[in-house]
Amino acid sequence: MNKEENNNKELVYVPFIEGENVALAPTNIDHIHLYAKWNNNPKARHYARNMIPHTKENLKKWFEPRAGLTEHVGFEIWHKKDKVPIGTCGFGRINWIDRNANIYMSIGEPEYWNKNLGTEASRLLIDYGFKELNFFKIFAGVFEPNIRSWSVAEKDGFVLEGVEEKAIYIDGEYVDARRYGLFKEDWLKRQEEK
Amino acid sequence: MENNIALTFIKGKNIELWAPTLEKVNLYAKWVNLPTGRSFSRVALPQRISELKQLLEPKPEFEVQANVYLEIHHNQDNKPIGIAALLNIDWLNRNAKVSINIGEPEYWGKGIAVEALKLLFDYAFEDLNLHKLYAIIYTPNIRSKRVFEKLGAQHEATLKEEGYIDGKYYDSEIFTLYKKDWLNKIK
Amino acid sequence: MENLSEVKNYPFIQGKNLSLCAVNIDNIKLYASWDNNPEARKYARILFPKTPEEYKKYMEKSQEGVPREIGFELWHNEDKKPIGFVGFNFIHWPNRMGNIGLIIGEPAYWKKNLGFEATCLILEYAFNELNLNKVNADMYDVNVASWKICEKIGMKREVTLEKHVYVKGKYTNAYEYRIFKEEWDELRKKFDFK
Repeated sequence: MNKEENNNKELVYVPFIEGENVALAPTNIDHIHLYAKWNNNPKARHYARNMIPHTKENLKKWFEPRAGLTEHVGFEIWHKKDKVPIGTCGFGRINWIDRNANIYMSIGEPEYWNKNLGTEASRLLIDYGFKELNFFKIFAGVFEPNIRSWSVAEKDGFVLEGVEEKAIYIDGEYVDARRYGLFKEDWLKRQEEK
Repeated sequence: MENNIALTFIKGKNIELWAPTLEKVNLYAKWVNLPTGRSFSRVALPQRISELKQLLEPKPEFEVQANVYLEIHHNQDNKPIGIAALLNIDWLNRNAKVSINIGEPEYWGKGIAVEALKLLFDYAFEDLNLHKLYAIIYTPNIRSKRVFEKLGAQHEATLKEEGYIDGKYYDSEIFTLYKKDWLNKIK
Repeated sequence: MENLSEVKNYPFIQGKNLSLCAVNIDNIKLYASWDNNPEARKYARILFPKTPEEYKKYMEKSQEGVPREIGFELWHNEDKKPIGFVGFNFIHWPNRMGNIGLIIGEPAYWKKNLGFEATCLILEYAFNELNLNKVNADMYDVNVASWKICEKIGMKREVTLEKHVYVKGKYTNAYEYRIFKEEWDELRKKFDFK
């Protein structure tokens, strides 16, 4: 639809972390229509669901001015060559005392699926979490049927810590959730070995 | 409503650290404005009760607390005598400024500051997982420096002519303490 | 000690030794003393001093729509006084899942099996009244009393999160326990809590 192309012209690119094919940029209240589209797209949200439902009002709340640190740090994922935002990622449930956080990642635009862009973005994010935010541990929850997602996690060194049975109700049935954890020292060790 | 319920947060031998309450804000205001105490405690502007009330107001849920205020409570005499605080907590860099104010002058010179800070440091390193604590003390404030040195803090830097007190410029000294040094010391 | 006949309580659920009552704004100082008490809060993961005003704020929060949190005061039937809290830290209605928490604030009432009774009462409420499908409880490994209650009831430890919390100078593990409605329906037959 043409509306999308017009919106592209208005989109502002402010990279914060650069990778080879993708870059992570701060979220932008002017792009809220994109976030809403991605979050509501039945194809995209199928396994991206977490504990909190997304409404536009909820999304707007993320942009209210904040005095200090919060429990959340979020990014937009940009495709460098095509110069478009394609998804969101970040850390939620950050506990600054325990120095751990939940990582989330979602490529919202279907034409950018299956190109390893999510993998690249997560690696940039994990590096940032350990080396800049000084996390001790990053954890992740992935629903059982989302094989692609948890295979990548395991490849990156995430360790399975348990399975929550019937954790979430999707399309008429309960689905299990896999709980993973990754320690800073293990991540850094893997990087050295590469 | 019961008025004598203890709000003990951290237990100590001669003192305890309690959660502050809004109903005592007048007392806190008295301490913070105390003429004899405040020159070296870097309080040059009158502290209004309304502003102190704001400091004690509960913060929005999503915000991570940047300051922790604790009331120093004397066990035997069963009364509040001052405030110990962690200020400007930087969670990413894991450091915080230490502040202490014994508001009742009859309790000065009795080792209370040392005891209160010991409890505060334990809390900062063992519970809040901070990496570093610092205090900013004016050079002529020998009493304060002695307290921090007694606890194992080291002089790390001097900021020249950083404070204007009683008509003159004074240097500020930064005293610091690191988690591993503190935890090794108490073991 | 104030005149006991003046102390009000509003029982909502009646148990053998305990009742679950609505939280009482007159007791906010008592609630604060429990949460601040170094012995009680050691394992309850309360790291910041709580002012009585915080409880007022929580109670004044309007309950628009379905609540995400539900809390009860634990009332000792015989001694006629409040001794702690039990309730839901969050409820996810579409998933029909609730996460429970419990604190016995008065040390004189520890080691009397009251935590066990309170947990049974809240599970009954969760499954028979709130129509939940699954209840979770989490705690750290050093909070032995807490997970012993879960084991005694027959809850299953689903996840062990390694080095997930920073307690007294070191990282230690956290556990997640769960129980399904079908499991509770069977297990409850053995227990005498009403």
